[in-house]
Amino acid sequence: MNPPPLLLGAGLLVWGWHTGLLAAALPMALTLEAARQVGWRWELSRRDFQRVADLCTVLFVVVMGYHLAVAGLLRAMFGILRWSPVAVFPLVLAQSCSSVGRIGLDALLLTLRVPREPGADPVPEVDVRYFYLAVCMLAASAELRPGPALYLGVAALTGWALWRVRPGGSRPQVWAALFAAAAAAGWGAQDGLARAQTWVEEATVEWFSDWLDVGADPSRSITRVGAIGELKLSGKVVLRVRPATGANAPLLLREAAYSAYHDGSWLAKEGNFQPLRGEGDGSAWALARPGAADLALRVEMPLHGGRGLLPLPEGTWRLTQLAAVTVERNTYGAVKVLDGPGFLSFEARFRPGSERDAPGEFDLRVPPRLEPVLRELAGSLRLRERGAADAVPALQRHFADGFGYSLVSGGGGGERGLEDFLLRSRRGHCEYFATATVLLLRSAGIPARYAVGYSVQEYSPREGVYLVRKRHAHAWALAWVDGAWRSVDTTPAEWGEIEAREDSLWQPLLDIFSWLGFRFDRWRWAPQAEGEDSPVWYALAAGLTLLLAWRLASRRRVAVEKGAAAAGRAPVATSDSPFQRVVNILQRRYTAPAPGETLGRWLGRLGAEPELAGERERLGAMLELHQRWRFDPLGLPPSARARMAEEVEDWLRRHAGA
Amino acid sequence: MKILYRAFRHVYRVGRWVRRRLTPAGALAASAFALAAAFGADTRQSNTYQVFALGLALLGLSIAFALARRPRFSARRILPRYATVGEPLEYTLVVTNEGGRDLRGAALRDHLEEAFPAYGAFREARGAPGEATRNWFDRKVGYQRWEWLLRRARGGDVEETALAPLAPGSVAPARMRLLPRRRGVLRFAATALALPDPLGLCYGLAYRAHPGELLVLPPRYAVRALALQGARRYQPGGVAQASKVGDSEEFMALREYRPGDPLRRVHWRSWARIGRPVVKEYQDEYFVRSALVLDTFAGPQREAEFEAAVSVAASFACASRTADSMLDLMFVGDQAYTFTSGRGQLPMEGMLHILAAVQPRRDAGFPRLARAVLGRAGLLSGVVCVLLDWDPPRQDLVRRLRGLKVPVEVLVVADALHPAPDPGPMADAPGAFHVLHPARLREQLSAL
Repeated sequence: MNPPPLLLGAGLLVWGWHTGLLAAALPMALTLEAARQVGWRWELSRRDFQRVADLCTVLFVVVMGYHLAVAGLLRAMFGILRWSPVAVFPLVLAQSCSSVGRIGLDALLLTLRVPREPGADPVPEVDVRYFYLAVCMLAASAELRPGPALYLGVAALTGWALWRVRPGGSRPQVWAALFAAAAAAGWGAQDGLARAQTWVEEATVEWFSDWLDVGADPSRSITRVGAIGELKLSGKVVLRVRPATGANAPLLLREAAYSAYHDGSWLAKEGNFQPLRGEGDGSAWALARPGAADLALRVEMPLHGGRGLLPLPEGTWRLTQLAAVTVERNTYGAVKVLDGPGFLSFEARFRPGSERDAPGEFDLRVPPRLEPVLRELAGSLRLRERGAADAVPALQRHFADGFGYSLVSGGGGGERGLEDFLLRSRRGHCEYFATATVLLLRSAGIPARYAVGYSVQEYSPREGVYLVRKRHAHAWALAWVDGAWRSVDTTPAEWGEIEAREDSLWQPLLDIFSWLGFRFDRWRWAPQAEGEDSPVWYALAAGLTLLLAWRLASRRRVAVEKGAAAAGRAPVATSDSPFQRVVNILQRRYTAPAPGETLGRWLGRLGAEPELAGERERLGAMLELHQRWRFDPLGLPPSARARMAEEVEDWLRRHAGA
Repeated sequence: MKILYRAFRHVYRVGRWVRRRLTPAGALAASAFALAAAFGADTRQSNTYQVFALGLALLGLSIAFALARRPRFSARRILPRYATVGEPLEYTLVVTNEGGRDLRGAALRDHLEEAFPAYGAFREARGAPGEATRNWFDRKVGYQRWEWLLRRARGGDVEETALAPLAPGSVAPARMRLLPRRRGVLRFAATALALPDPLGLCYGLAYRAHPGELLVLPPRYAVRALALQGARRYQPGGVAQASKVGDSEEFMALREYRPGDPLRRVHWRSWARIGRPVVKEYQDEYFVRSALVLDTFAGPQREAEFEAAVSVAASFACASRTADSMLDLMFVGDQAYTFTSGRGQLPMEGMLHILAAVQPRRDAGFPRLARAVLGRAGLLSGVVCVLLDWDPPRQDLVRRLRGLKVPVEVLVVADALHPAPDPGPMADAPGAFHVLHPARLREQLSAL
């Protein structure tokens, strides 16, 4: 059944108004409504409809690709939904302007696009206009706006459409009462849904609060000190660092620092995060007071799920161009992004030796079990006597002289493994060196912390940046020297080379893919110079529409009979046959034949109307006489003409007043 | 494959359940509702949950009304004796409104029995119409094949019909339209009345178990009468084979009774006269007896060709022929069968019944059919062979028949024999050798 005039236009306007895309919706609505009024139709073949459907698919893919590229999956889904009326529009327009008036399913389903065998069932045809109305309503709802406006709009459109297709046996009063009841119930239900979600969220937070705070990286670091086996790290590039002024590799980028050690695990005791306040447009964040002479570097990194720790050089006091909603910092200097994009490119300004947060009680604690060993070793190195400024180089010399770097470790559990490293094996990876350094400094009365992050050491001439790989993950110590926290890295310098030897032969190829992925991410997450409302998109849509219009304009047009066109109906061939009067009444009372529909098929369709259900045979008999009247070369005999006139008069007597 | 098969069963079952209960508007509303449910799960992301809520209310109210408005009725089906594959047929359902309310806007449905194909049948099934032209994905997944098997098992489609308004207690006939899609027996399972709710989204359904059967005959085409150039042959059955027409009353002599003579041949008056049983002896019969040989040995994926061959056989079985001729239909099913019509034997309808039920064989047992035909060659005035191939075993049968001086007409039904095959043993009778294409049977048979 044809949608009533203005319904589709109204649907498009509701969509445009609610999503802010009225500039697109208005011309589309006008075009669709104008298509009902024009006096001609295009003769579109099945192949043409298939092409238009393919164009819609291309539009859909473009919309989908764009949104997936510029937003996370969830936002992209809503973006696609929001723009779907644009993607489907060519198909609806083609149906509205075609002489056929319906679309074969083979246009929409590739599986039906096969050569038809003689005698095979015809391809089913569908009317996509009501479907399009549903698409408009759903697309309108993709935008979140408080208030009842959208609900009222959608309810009105739904009611309008349902009224048009209500069953023959449905009384208007009953229908209206039922629809009003459903609309009221729906309003209650949508309010209930919003409340229910709030309640569920609150209850979930309450139920699982005990678990939610446990195991966050910045508060706990489980080392592999004492673990037996070979450490294998991937060569995947995780960061790209571009030193700006004065900063050069090797450089340590710290993600987190910890104070308490217990059996192989480092904990950040009382390391609660506090939110930072953004400056200016919200992309600059101050971590400490500004200093005089400082250094700067740019870090580019993916941020999975929009949250994670930032690797920052020692003494970072300000972050700029950091597009994030929430940034937090803990007492140990770890900075966390909570609600950010999938890719970060920010500048860190830093001044080494400027971290002056006073040490806490945990920064001097050593595990009781290791205390004798550590005291003896620290005593033999005379660390306490040297003072902090000299103790650090002495410790670095100690580890440089007699210790070696190894990815293979052994020798018992957490603290026993560390003891084995210090006294016997003297070989281990960075966690051993860092943990031993921190504990030795502490046993000499120097506050120290355990820090984890990345070592910047590999320069890529091709990209002009330092590449930081997963295997560059590093641990080192922070020591309180001369009233400031300073990085102390005692791991032998050859560790980078040793780990680089483990690289896969495919690493150069993987690096190229990594670079391509990085470039894509940078483009995808770059601040939007051209948003989805950009004129570029409108220009693209207009271009495609013009292309379609030009293709369609070159089609053969078929004139629509004037009188019928004025009534928005398809033509019915006239004749002097009395049956024409029956046809006119049926047209007025029910619906006109679809374009291209034969009288026989039309009457068969009308047979579904309850009032005409019993009339099928009679109408069929009259139609047969009518066809003979019109087409039989010998004409209709006078007796048959008289019989037909009688039949028609009788039918009119019974139905004219109904 | 088995996972797909199970998935198809479930998808089809759910789809059928939904299709039967939702109007077109309801189906669209339900689809929009499902989409809104997916997008509206988070009320803080979009307003889609409001569309979901409206859909929930509309569909909920419609379902409630539909459940409360299930019509009460009874129905009686009036079927014709036969139907023909591919030819729409109208029959009558007489419906009685047994409820207390008017039935207005109701739709009447007649359901044919549906049986899901077994997994083995689904896996082995090939040759669904158009399968060769489908894309790789469709061929691998095979949902169209599944639908085809299901449609074939169902055997036809019955259109839904709008029921005229029916007052409580009144009776009205409704014309139903059926399109039979395969030969054999179509089994009706139930009749249903679907009454839409006032919003027009859901149907209130009432089912009545209503079994019934309809025999669907193979399609027949106009062919000329069989006119093979064979002589009349001696038929040892004599008058028993020819009880009504022809030479049946040719009395020859009386002779003494011999054990085994039928009682009807006893000449009672002679027995009374001479005191010993005497029987009448008739002249043995000579008349035209043709054989219609149907090749049932269709290989895999030759469903369409086999159906076409059955149609060709049915067309010849129905073709007019002289009253005193006989026709033997010969084929191999689970055994070799010969059915004879003409001269008081099986009527033409009986032949069509048999052809409606004949099934293809997948094995290569053509020699069995050849043996059966050659065994009767002495009785036959001519043979029409409807073959599915023109390979050496089939050519050998034709060669041997012709060697026995039996006129043979060969019709090979195949859509892959291009160019036309070498007539072989029929080379000297090109007018009696025809290659028929399943899609062009009508024109080719009329041109014979």
